Amino acid sequence: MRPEFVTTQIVSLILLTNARSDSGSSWAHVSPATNEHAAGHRVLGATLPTLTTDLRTPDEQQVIAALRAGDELAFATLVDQYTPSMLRVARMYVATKEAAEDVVQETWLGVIRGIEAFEGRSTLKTWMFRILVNRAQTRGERDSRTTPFSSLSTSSVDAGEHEPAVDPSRFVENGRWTGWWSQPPSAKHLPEAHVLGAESGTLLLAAVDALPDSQKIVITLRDIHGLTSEEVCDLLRISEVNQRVLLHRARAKVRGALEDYMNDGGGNA
Amino acid sequence: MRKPDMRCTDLVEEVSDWLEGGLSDDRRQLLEEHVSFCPGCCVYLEQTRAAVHAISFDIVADDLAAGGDAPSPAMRSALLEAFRASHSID
Repeated sequence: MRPEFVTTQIVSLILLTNARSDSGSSWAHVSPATNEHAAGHRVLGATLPTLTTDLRTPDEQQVIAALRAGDELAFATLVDQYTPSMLRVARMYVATKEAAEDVVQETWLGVIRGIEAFEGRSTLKTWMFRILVNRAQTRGERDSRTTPFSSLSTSSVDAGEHEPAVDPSRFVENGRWTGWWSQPPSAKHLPEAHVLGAESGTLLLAAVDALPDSQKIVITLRDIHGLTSEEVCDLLRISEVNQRVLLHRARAKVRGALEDYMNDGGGNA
Repeated sequence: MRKPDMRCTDLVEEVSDWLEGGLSDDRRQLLEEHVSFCPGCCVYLEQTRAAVHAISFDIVADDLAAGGDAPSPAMRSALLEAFRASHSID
């Protein structure tokens, strides 16, 4: 039986994790709590992966070197890995699947042409997505397609329709406890770390796919691909405030999808 | 009882900023205090973190490819051809 409530020890472990993070999404390693409560709250005390936003890792350097050396397998692997995301992003700018394929193909040709001169001032990944978005925008304009952001003015994202992160009916609406949970998320609906189950990836990607384009593109670049907030704002030419709002809304929906998935009995391997 | 400055309805709107390290010190403290006594929000925060982690590329790369967006054989061979050609110049 999994207890519903968490101990302050576990909670402070979580808080310690994030208290160390600087701006940008980096999490420190948290080692599993060793006390009695850990067994029942394993998911909360579990080791969180280190997520770095600086992707100038040795791996990326190796990829760049391999491409420059003419390593076809390295190039083919990169194409296989990133084309799906590139197609999804391109599709937000252009009118047809075929146009998206053209844009992605042009992007890869741009990578081939530019890799020698690539200076590494950004990550390889960011550079590739920048080429992609530029080409997608150009093609989109040429095909007179509206962009993911054309329907949004700055003000409408900032101040505009409030889009609550959670259904308001889940909170108390009257009396002294106004604003507190009336239907809180349950600890039963926390996935066991690392054991989300094979279906969850597909399911959560479906939730991402269902987002409005502006939210989809931000969460794709930020959370799927790990680009920094500065890189995404620069690439998409949106303000930091807009980016934060879009990311927040996107994450809220994906969290909701995860909660629904857990509620339906998913995530139990 | 003094009314707390952060309620659950506030927290769920600020969790993303907290994950980004983008809250002011005051808001961050309020949020962390709130989480320490509110199990619902503690779970909410962890769900958000888990969801964000679960869609990271390392984890979903295969799902992305399986979603029917893998490069077509024609695209692949054209690109490999171009790659080869770019390296055959002496």
